[in-house]
Amino acid sequence: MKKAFSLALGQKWTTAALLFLAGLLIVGLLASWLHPFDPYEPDYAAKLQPPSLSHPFGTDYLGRDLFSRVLAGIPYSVFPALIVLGLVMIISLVLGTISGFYGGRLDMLLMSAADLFTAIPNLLLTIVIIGFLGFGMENVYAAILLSWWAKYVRIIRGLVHDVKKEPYMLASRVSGSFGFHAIRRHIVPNMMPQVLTLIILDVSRVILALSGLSFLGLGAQPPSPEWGVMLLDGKNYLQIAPWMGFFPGLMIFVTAVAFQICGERLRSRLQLN
Amino acid sequence: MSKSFKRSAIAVSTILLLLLAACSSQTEPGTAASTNKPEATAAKRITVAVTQDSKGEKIDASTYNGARAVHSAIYDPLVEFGEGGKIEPGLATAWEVSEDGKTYTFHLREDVEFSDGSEFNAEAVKFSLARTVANEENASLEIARKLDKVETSDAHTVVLQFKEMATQVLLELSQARPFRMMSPNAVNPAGAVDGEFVKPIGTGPWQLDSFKEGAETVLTANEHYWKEKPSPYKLVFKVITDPQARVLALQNGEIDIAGGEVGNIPYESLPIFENNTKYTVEQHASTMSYFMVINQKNTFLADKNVRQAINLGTDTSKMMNGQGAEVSGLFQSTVAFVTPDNQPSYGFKPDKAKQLLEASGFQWNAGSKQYEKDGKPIQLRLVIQTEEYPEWKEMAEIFQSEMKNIGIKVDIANLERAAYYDALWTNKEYDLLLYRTYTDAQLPYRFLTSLFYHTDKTPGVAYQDEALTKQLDDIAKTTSTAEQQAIFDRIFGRMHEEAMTVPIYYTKQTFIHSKKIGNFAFGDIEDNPVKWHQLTIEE
Repeated sequence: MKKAFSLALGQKWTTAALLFLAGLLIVGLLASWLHPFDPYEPDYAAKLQPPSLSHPFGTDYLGRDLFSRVLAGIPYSVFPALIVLGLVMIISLVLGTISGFYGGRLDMLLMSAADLFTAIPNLLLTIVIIGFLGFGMENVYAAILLSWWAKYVRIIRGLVHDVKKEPYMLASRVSGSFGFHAIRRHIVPNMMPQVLTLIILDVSRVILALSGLSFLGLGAQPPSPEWGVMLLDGKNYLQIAPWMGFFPGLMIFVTAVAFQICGERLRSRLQLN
Repeated sequence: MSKSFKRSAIAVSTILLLLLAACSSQTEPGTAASTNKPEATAAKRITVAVTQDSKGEKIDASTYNGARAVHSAIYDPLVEFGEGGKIEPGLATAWEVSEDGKTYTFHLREDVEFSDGSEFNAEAVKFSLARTVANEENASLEIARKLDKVETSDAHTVVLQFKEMATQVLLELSQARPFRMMSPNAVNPAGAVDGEFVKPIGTGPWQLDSFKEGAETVLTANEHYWKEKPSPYKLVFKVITDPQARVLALQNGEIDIAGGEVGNIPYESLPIFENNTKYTVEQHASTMSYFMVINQKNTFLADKNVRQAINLGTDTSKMMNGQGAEVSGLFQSTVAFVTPDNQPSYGFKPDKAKQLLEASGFQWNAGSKQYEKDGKPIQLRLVIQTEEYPEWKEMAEIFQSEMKNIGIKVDIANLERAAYYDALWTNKEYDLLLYRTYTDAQLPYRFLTSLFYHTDKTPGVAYQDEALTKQLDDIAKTTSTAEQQAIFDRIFGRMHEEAMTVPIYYTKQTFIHSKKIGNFAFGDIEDNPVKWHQLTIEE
């Protein structure tokens, strides 16, 4: 199945996905100059208009241009996923390497904590943490960070153990390099490809989690053009103005798939499991 | 199959589902309806959507448990609140009020039986009133505060003696709760004022048949109903908390009626039903308005200029596509004591709003496009809920954007129903809170006292003002309508001058029912919105 999946998504798809993501990144960075209408300003005269030339994605219940809102939503929907995962990576690299390399009591403590966090399903844990912290995007980021780190610490610890067994590590040890130097020169560079692949494979999950939480009303709040919020807005108009939910939904879908394709490709190139 | 593939598959199917749903709107709504209707059993069911659990086993007439519509379906009042606020006979055929407003004599209707077959008489009235007065939740009601004793000179005459002049008695008696008549057999031991509630027994058109917590309350006709012919059907109040789910339930035939206060249908979904031959949209005047409660603990809102600026910056004509009547003051013109000119309006004047802010020492920050004082921008937390009032989200967003135009930042917090009421009644964690006025006989006096009145011991719920509290005291001291009118004129003027609220919208009652339901008629009060027992099912 996995093979079929990888084959079906050959070079062409990867190129397309990469191009799409690059475009998304650029448009996202330039969003505030690119959108044709103010994404926040209601225009009551233009309520609920279907897609047209002037409003390619139609307008919403306050007459706001959905195309502009979808563009303005990129920095709120995609970038946070990357930043949160970047933070997860840094934190778990530090903790995982320390834990795996030095072992001992700290390792035991960290692993018990990680066990505790991995025992509860990610999304559930995220929602519980938001329950404590309160609504809002910052809290959602914190909650995702808190519920995602454990998995990576475990994986990185395992990778560190693997690398430690490599002959070159023995050589490095014999030659007197140990501790921080070895971590920096040998361990981290050797497991980086695996870690990065896993992270990229997780981007789509985090994007879905972020927009999902906003859809539930826990994350971004109106008038934010975050895609999950727009999907929630669209939910009530599904029968009257389906475009309101369709385009943000499509964007979430395509973006998640694009990251997945790139991640899968990377994984198959690296022969990882 | 790898995990991530599974996840992509889930993502794909979600989107497909969305697409499917989008496409299905092209087809005639309700075509798939007839297939999944419950089979007709002995008595046919008329199903109505309700937003909250109706607490079937606790519908004690003296409490606030469950939905008001269920209370008024089971229990009858001594006097009815008729058209235009006229008090009309109910279980009492006639009544006299003494000159000093301290003695109320009620002559009860004879030959009325409770749903268990027992007789309705003066003892039952005495029991019901005593039980309600004994309930601490009702301590703020006038009858509870002032009732001295209840005398029963014969089986069908009840005399209420008050410690001091009571002016709201008839109005309080006419409402859905908590002063409706319940049989002494409803508690154990029977007739004990503090007895444990066993089951609802009233004289109304319905009685409790069965109840499933959080799911539905089934009522069946009260065979002993005195006023009109009992219904041949069962009336089901089905709990559906999500507004959009109520729309879908109506479309697929799961429910027959939805709307009003009981099960509000989002107004944006009305077009689905309006141009559809399978449904009828019924509309009726209302006395309710939506408004914002102001928390004066917030330092910005303690400033009268800021409160007035918010009012001036709010364009109420934009709410709900401008479907409501023009907003002028807190109360609709259907409310008692409201005259064409005793409720001034601020109107929509954003420039004047900005001038007021500047007069209060706020400075325009061109960078953030907000007004600020000592480096602190005006930022307000607006609390809403959408389970009962789905249209509040859109109103809040319109308001948010209008406030942005006058340099005030508003953050919307859409809370769950329970958390929302906590914010309003208990923890006060809001700066502005979208709320609604009460209805009918509770307006304006009962509503104003329950929100704006304060004593040394109990702080008020909404904006607190010494002058207003004193004026409300004055109302309680007069039975003369003319004098009350003069005081209400001053009250409305004071509330306007101090900008104690932000009026947003005047509602209408809207119900939607499938065409198979016939003989739909609105009730006399909004808490008893429909004459359920007159409904028919047409084949």
